Amino acid sequence: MITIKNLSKTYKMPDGSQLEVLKNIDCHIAKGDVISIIGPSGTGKSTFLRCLNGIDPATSGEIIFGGMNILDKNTKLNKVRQKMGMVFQSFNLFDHMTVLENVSFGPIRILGMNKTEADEKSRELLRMVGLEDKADVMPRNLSGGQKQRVAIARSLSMNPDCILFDEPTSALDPTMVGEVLHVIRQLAQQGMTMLIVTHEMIFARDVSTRVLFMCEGGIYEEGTPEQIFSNPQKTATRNFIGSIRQSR
Amino acid sequence: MKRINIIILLLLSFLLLAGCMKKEERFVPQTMADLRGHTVAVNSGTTQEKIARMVTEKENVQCLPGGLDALVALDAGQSDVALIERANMFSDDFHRLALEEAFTDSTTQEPLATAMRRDDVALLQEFTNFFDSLDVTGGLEEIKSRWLNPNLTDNQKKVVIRQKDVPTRGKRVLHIGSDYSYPPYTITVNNEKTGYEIELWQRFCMTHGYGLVCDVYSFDALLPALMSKRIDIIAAGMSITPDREAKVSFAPADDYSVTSVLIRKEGNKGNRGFFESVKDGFDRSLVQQDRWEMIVDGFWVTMWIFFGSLVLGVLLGAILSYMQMSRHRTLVLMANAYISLMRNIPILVLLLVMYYIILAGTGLSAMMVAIIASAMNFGAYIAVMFTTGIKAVDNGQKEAGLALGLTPFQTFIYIIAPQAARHIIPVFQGEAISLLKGTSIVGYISIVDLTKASDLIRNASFEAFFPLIFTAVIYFCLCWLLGKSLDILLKKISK
Ligand SMILES: Nc1ncnc2c1ncn2[C@@H]1O[C@H](COP(=O)(O)OP(=O)(O)OP(=O)(O)O)[C@@H](O)[C@H]1O
Ligand SMILES: [Mg+2]
Repeated sequence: MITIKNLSKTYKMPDGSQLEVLKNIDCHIAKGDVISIIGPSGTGKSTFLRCLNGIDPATSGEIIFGGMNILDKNTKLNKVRQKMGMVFQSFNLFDHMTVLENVSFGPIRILGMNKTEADEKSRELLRMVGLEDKADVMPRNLSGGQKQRVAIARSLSMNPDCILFDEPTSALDPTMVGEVLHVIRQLAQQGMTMLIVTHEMIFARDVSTRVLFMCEGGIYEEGTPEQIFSNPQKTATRNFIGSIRQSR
Repeated sequence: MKRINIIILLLLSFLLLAGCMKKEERFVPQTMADLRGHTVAVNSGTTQEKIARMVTEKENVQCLPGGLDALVALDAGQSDVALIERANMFSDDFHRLALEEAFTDSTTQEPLATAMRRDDVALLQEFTNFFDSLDVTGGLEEIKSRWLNPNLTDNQKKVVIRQKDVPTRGKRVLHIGSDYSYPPYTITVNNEKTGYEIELWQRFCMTHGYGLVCDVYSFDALLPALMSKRIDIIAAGMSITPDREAKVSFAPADDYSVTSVLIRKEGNKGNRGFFESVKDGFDRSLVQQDRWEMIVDGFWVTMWIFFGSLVLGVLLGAILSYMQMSRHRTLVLMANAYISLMRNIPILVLLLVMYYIILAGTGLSAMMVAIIASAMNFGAYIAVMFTTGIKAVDNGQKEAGLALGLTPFQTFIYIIAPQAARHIIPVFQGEAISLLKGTSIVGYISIVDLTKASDLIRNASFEAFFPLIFTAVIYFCLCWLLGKSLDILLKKISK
């Protein structure tokens, strides 16, 4: 579904120097894959996701998604993104719309669905994430966990082929992490293709089909959850897994 | 809310009272020498100003810029005497004031005449010929018998040529500039621009098949307007002085300024009741000669300029704000330079620069110049407002919009703009009100807006209080309404 070839990303720093954040990444994501991306802070996990949907343009390489090369100048990025949802660490719900409007906005404005149909579908999605009763509330009156569940429903409203999650639970109180992870687990069971950057190791182990360990701008080691968590091959991976075990 | 209404009422009634209180002390001079040590009101640029500076101390001369404001100042108790041109008194409006002549002084006399550009030799020649023949046929005598006759004080009887009788198009179109506030030479009667000097030129244009357009300038602005070719003739009872002769050429003069020394009559206004004087002032400044019509016309002019510059200014502001947030450094620099230029030049100076220099040769009407200048200034403030408002919206909102599949443009329209509007509208409210109030300076470039209309009425009726208060109330209501409607808009978008 997504093929990534030789992907690199360099930031130009204000002082003129170059910061190479992603280095020659190759990766293939098949339909139905649930991929957890783990790794130390600052290794480019977020940048990797943001390059995939083009919010941050990659410097070189190829990203093929649904037959389109995202790095091609002629590709309509908005079309790509309609099929590739994204859920942010800081939720980013549209502050000036109600919960229901947040979810129905995409179908109405982008997919051209009529309002009644879109509202009905949006309520269904809200029911799925357990927030049907919050339809007419403004986002500022929701808890973090509720916001993130609305954000997932919003993303689903576009019927995407895959969804990118960037640390969906990192900004949440520990008490709210469970409700969000529960929704993501549900999606995994339904066969949604997902890339999830996370620090929730138990969740990653349970839910993923594959785990990518990123370190210093590259995919350092990858494998099944079993391989990465129980039997890491490389030292850095082992150290990282070990450090997380200890902190638990 | 109730309490505010009461406070406003109290303030207004205080103003009313203050407007009716007069200085009771009376000073009756016998000769010019008596004026030393007393305050003397004069109209700026007149022979009388020169005389006042000779007979009394510098700090005692009150030099008033508009038409016959010296009379209004004396009547209001602002000065002990007023020096005016004797012919200024030949009108009913003057006789309604409780002022009288202490004595006439004819020691200093200066001729009065209309003026033209020095290089407009043909016009001077044609007018001189016309004037001479008018003199020969006795026509001039008849005109003078109406306008310069101390015994004919009913201004309405003096007008025989109406503005509509004189075409505004012709072989050549002459622009005649005046403050229309210096009777009998130039005056507003029944909302018509007329007077002795105006009638001469009206007749001249009718005989020669020329068009005549009457433009309103304050006295001080007439010479610059003539020099920059905005007007062709100055008709303002202007006295011929060597200074002026060096710059302009004067038409043949056959009238001389004679100075009257005016004082308040005994018990000026003291014998009239409060309500009586209010009623009288109201009558003179608004009802008589349908003067309120000038206020109505002025109101629409103000509205046109306001809405014109509001729309243009918002467009300009949007473009500038777009430039400010662009990735191209030159665009950012250009926008910033423009904004700091506009923010650091007084709007009045900008208006005059646009009118007399930059847009002088373009044939754009004064109204268009006013709208453009206001918009140029307003746009700079709007741009800053837009930019800060947009930057105040969290970047995550933009990313969420893009990630959902919106184009950058759609993201701006549906996601960023509505949220920025909440930051912008409260500031916009203040700026729009400033813009509306700021239009009151357009009188400087010959536009008769609400403020200028009240000026003209004050000069025609010698009543300062009502036209000014009335105008203030109109501005207040307009600004209040504007503020309220933006409040409602803000409530609507921030549920
Ligand atoms: N817009 C930017 N301009 C310059 N440098 C950036 C920018 N965004 C990220 N970086 C740098 O790129 C590197 C990778 O950042 P990124 O956010 O992708 O890391 P991460 O793996 O997601 O870290 P974390 O786990 O803390 O979220 C960091 O060194 C960061 O400082
Ligand atoms: Mg990150």
